[in-house]
Amino acid sequence: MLNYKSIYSIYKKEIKDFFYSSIAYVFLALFIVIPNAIWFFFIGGIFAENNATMRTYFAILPYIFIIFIPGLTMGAWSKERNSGTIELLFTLPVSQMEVLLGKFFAALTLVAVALASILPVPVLTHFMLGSFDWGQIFAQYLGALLLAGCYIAITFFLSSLTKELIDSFLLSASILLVLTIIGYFAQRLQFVSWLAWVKVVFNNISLSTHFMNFSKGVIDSRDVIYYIGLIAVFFYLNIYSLDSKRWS
Amino acid sequence: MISVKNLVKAYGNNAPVVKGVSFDINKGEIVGLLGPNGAGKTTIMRILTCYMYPTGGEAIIDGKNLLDDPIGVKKLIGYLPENMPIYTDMTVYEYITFSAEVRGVAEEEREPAIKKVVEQTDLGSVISKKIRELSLGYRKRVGLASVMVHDPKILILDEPTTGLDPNQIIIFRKMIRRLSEKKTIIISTHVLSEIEAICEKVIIIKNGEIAANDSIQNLVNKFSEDLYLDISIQGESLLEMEVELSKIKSAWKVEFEKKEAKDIFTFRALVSKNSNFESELSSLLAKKNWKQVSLTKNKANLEEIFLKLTRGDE
Repeated sequence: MLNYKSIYSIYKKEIKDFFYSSIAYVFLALFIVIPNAIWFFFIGGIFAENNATMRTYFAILPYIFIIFIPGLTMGAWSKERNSGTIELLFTLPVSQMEVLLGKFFAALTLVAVALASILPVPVLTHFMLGSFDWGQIFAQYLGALLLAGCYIAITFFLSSLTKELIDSFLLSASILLVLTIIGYFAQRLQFVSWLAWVKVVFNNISLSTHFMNFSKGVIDSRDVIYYIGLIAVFFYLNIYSLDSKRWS
Repeated sequence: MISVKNLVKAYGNNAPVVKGVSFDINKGEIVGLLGPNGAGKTTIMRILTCYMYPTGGEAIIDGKNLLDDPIGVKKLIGYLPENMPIYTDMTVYEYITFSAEVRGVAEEEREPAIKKVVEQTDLGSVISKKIRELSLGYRKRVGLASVMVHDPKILILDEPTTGLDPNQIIIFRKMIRRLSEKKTIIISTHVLSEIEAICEKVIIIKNGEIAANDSIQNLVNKFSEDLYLDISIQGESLLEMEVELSKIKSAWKVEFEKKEAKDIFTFRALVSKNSNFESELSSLLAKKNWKQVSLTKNKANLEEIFLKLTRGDE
């Protein structure tokens, strides 16, 4: 049985940690500048859409997250292990899952705050240029949070395998790149008929493919189940990884 | 209060570092876990605090098995690890508050509990400071305050005075003695004076096994037959003396103590009362043409008992 007060205590500590160590400021500043700069200067921003939509902004998020999320989560376990505070954490009367959930929601909160930075675009568009499809925006935000949740769960697990921050970051970014880009290959490359199954596999396991519907404003239950399932799998692997170190 | 039976811990496929350790600790006892570096003290403490799982055996703490109810066990314990891991970016107040929250101190009881441990550990003057700005002595006090804030029944302190200056050590010992009135305390150390100053009972660990488990007084009585001899010898080469004296098998240990004069050196030998050390020494002196200047006999204290019991461990 999970103790929500314990999760909240860990969550608050993690949020404070992000701000004490300046990770939060760097993350938020760069997240506001870089994706928006790419969207406005290289893709043309909302004016290139010919529609009141932020579809292209959300379509580039899986690639933006490849660098940003590992930067945020690389220290989740490796920093604790490196500084010895993991001994402190695991001798507190809280379960590993409670610690993991506290850390997970803290990281997700920071991503949500970063994503909120783009909200002025639809709001201003709505009041100055015309009505915006808020249903689509909701789906896009939901998808972005689920996608970020997946990236966080994967990088947390990888952080539990490493002791150095840089190892954690490079390993996480590499694996996220592979899991994201295989969807792009599946869309763009021609597969010979006997390799058609590869295309299906790539499409189904890619983190970016499942985000496509969300970026268009469509909530498909298969995509929701995929993301929640993947988060659950990596939570399990994370707990297993932490636990095995305490047994060995 | 604490019952440990056949506790075993091996890291990976390596040989066990804790080999079937069993002991009982009663409520209100202050027990010193004593042993050379690498003897297995920290591993035993890490198992008792549920940081590590044992490879075999069991530990029952206040009726709770640590494998069945780790959260329940952890609620009973305040654990201060040796290297003092601490979130140094927090202020003292924030850190103790976090500790109180996560250890389940009810909201209405939190402020009085924090105030009490801040008074007990004399942290009032630094309460708003960032922990990273504090000296090691203050950090240890912060650590102690944070593990006491939920008023645990048991305190487990791993090398609590390592790195402290003599004044800080005295203050820390006073604090622990004050706390001992109400709590069961286990202190791990390899500083014997610490055990003698604080503990009533001692468990000596050697190579992952218990070499002794008794009160300090009983151990001293048990080993009252043991002596340490201070021998001053006149001779030319200190190095040769050290080598030759260490070859005397009837002594557990012979160590150079001090240089008395240009060619007079004092050694301390730990021997049994009935050993033939003195005759072996006479033979050696005659053979080497060295002269015995003086020899004084003293009863063994805890330090000598420890040396005897852990001989060959390092």
